[in-house]
Amino acid sequence: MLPLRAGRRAFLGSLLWFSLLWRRPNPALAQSTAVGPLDPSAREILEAVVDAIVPRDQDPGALDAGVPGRILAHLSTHPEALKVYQAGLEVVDRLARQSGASSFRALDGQERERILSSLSSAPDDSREAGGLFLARVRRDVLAFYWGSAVGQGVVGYRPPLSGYLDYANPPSETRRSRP
Amino acid sequence: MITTRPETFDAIVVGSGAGGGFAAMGLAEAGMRVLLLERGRRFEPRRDFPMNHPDWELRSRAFRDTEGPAGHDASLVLEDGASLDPRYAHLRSSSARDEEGKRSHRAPFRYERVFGLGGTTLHYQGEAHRFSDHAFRPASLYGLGVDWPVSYAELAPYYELAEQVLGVAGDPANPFKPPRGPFPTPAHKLSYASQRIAAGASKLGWALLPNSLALPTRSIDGRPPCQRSGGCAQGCIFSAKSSVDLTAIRRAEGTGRIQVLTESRVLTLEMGPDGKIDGIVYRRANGDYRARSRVVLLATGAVETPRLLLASRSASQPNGIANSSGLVGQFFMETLLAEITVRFDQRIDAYKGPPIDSRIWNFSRPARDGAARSGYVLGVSGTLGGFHGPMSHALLLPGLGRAHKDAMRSHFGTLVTLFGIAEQEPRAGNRVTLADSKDPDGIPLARVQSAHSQTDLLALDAMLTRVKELGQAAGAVEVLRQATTYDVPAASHIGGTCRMGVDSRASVVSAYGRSHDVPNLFIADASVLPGQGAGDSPSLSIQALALRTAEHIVTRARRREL
Repeated sequence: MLPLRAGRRAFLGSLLWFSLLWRRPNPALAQSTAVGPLDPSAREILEAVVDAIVPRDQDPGALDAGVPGRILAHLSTHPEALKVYQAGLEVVDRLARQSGASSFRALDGQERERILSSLSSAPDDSREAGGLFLARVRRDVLAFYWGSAVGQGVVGYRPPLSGYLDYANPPSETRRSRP
Repeated sequence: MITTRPETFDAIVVGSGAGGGFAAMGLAEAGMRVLLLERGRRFEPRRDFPMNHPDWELRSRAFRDTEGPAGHDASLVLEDGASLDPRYAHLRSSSARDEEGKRSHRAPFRYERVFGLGGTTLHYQGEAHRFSDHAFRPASLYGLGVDWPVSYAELAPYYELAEQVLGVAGDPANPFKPPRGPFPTPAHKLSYASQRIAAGASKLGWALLPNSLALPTRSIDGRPPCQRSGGCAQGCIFSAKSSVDLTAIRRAEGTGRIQVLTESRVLTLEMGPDGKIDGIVYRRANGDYRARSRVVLLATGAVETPRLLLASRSASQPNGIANSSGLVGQFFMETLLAEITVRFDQRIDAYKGPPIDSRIWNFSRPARDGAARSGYVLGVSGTLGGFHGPMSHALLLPGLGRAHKDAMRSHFGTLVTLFGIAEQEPRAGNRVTLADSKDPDGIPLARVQSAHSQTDLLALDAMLTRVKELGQAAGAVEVLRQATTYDVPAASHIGGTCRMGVDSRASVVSAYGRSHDVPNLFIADASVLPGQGAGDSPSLSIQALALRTAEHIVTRARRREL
């Protein structure tokens, strides 16, 4: 059985968070901004984190969907979230260097995933910052990616703008690939 | 300062949901001049609802940000519920088991309300059920709960009228329901997901039948038929779902005899020296107003109606209005719900189609599993459990990286939720009371206390067992999650806090919704329900009762008895 940790309440919590985020849709959130709230080094680490959470494989990844730009746009107007990201990105890079790498960016995908997954159990001085960051960045990246046309296309999802009058028929083949 | 309006209405209706909207229609169409007050705003489906946009999952739900920051409900005290019975620990929800495994009490009760013209019908899934005949006589037939002061036969004509207004789609050949004529529109074909589940149900000797839904399959009143978008809970962008704003209230407005005031919150009811409601005070953005009428009808739901009555206490009414019995707020009934989300090894795309397009009524009669337990109804849904579009799936699946992306590709479109809903035993200890703290408008917050009886726990246990059997018989390969109200309460069907009855010492209102204490006060919402219909959805019963109450008011008014 797949151990599903998040339930309905977690889902609703996510919705509430996005209610805040999107209460007034902002065109500026559409794509990457040239000048962001993070310094260039932190932005590069962020891009590596984003790429680790939804990597590019036979299908486009989160970088292809412009997710870093959407996160940066959000951080530019939400100082509390920015603090969580700044602290978390520092923890991520420090853990990478402690494992012998020159930076988080230098790690391969498997190692990046390992470090991100370990954030909640990081050493005491960085556990809280790491745990907060992991929860937040995971939620942000998954939402921005799978809520976008790119993510929808990966699983063959067509938004219901014109309804589903084919609802009683067996689903047609999609481009979804099986692992 | 309160501005007193110069005119006197025939009736003031407070709340525009299932009960208020239909009562207002009944009154206005009978010639009464009606003031309808609604706390929320009027929504425009093509402008306001998120599913108009491809990235709808990233957009806020239209109904959730109307009170308090981030949709937080500022009207309830949030506190841990009753202690959990360890004998039923196997009923724990997956989320609670994983995240709060040491929880010893139920999670705080939360109230999923909708402020807006149409009330909760703006986000409901369109279920339009007539309660079964036996649901009106649970005490006589099964020794459970209390008998209603109205029978199925008495309510049937009002059910029929409500169905006509809504254009309900359904199949009259349901052997578990009283005989009836055709529905206004034909039943929906079963979705592909329900077809798969139906095959499993058949192996078990159960019948998965088309649901009866206020989602017309033919055009009604110029609105298009249901487009099977599955988006009922987000607001129907096609205006196809028969929410009350598009049906009963639209008809009422067509009479020219109703004034609809949105964004108007009632603060208090004022008693006159003659023992009648003398006026109501409501707040708009530009000030507070007092309105007067011959009749006041409350329809703000099973929490807000008792809250308003209790909060309107005065020196002459120290226990609140209409509360000589002390029963206002008592006999609260929450939703008894057990559900699992299962995975198939093939794509079934359960998110397509009406959100709850099929039901199993085989267990709708109460029974004895050692002890008495209430009846329940099983159902199939592609959207319950939080799974709808790709984003919600992604947030609910664990992990990250390659494994998560692989899981999304293999899981999306293969999940469906199987659930059961039962009737909670009405008990005096389960209740709505007032807290000491107040909301920004100065009204005391509501406190909801609700604990399960042995009867309730048996029903939850039975439902969870049945939905697991159903999933297995249908060929599901994995149970991804389970959720029950054993530890996490649900509030989609609540009621009972101003119950109807014949005895003024044992009920708050009469069989016509009229207060036993205050002759010009009526209630027409879920709070009057003595029971919950053995697991069927209550909206249609609320609407039928509201039409009956409106007819009664008109009759009494014409006789000058009000």
